[in-house]
Amino acid sequence: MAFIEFKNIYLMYEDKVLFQDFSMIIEKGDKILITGKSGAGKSSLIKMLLGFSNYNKGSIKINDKELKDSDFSDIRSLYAYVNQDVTIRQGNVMKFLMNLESYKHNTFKMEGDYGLRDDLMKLFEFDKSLLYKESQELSGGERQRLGIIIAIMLNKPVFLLDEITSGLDYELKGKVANYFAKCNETVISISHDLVWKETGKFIKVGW
Amino acid sequence: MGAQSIDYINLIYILLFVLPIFVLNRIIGIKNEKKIIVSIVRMAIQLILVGIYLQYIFDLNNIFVNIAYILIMIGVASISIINSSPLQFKKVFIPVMLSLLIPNFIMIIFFNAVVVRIDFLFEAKYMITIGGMLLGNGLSGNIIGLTTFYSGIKKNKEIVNYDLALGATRFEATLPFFKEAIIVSINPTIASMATIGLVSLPGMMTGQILGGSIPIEAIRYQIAIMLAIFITKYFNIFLAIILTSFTMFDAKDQLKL
Repeated sequence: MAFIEFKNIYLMYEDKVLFQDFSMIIEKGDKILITGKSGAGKSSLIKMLLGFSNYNKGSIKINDKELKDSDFSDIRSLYAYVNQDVTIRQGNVMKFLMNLESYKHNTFKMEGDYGLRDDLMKLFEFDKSLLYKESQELSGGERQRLGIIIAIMLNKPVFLLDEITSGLDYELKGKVANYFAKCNETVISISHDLVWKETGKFIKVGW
Repeated sequence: MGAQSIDYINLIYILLFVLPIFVLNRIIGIKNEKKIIVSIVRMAIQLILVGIYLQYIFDLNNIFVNIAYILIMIGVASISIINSSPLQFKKVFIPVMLSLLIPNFIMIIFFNAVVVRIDFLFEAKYMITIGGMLLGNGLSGNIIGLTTFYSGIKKNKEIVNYDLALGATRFEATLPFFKEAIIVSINPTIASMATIGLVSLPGMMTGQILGGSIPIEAIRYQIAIMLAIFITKYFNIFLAIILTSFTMFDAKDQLKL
């Protein structure tokens, strides 16, 4: 039984064909690395899973069941998503984290005095003082690390990672890629960074 | 005892004061005489017509005619709201209409039954005038509320989608924009309640006093109508956003705008 399946997907964006008869099967626990030139629709692949991008033809199946439009809201609870810019709403970071816990599809519990897990903050060098800042005050790299820590804490079976190491230094890129290479969950990562390939755990997909 | 009546000829006298405005505009280079004249003529014609048919409707005082009149006002207000907002007419006409219809009808009936205590709840003189005041305020509130909500979401699509991807429902993900829309659109009414009487005498009160009411009577009406406007406007906006969101988002929670 296939876990996630793209079947004969056809996607056009502004007169450009991004996907034509595209099919891919992802099994539970697979680590997929997607590379390719920009504008080739890599992000669209993840956005199609999330329901943020429509496809013109074809279907997406989860556990062999073809998704209808109305299924996407609930199916999102399978995913922990990190996008390149980590577009957190305006306001206090801590407040945002507390809010996450209350979302309908979330079951995880914030931990400790600081809400986030200490071991993750330490591993990804995320300073606790940042939690008291406004989200718009965080730098690109700080946001990426925050996004990564949040995604891990959500405790979902699938990671959807869109260029999450672009703003990090070399050492951190390695730490992040290694963390996701070793985890038990299914990972779909879009990245140009070589560190992902160097973990030796990812199946490379490109077009 | 009523207000001293004004003849049409007296209106001409006040019109004379528009002439210096034309002269001054000419001097500083604003060329809008035509616009001003057209507006004044339109105002006069529209109000004369309203005066004639309101008299007719008040004399007739038929329940169906009165309700039909309110419905037409609501229809026109809905069209005007949609045209002044970024929304597509076909998708939101019915939701916007209901957002005005439900609170306004409840308030008018309640106002006539419990506050004014008149026997015929659909009395033209009360229903149409009070209804018109509520509607005028609901109109501006809905324009600001809907525009703030949908423009905010459109501009911040990535933020909303990120929240959805982190486990939020559509309601949870759009809540910050909902709050913002309510605050921005209801704040002017809250502010005007705080300053009314100090800065300006409301038109309704002025009218009643000139019409022969004693000030303390006119004030009770004004307090009642201010509260009615505030409450109705709040529910107009709240409902407008909730009801339009059923047709403005697709099954995948994406804004269709």
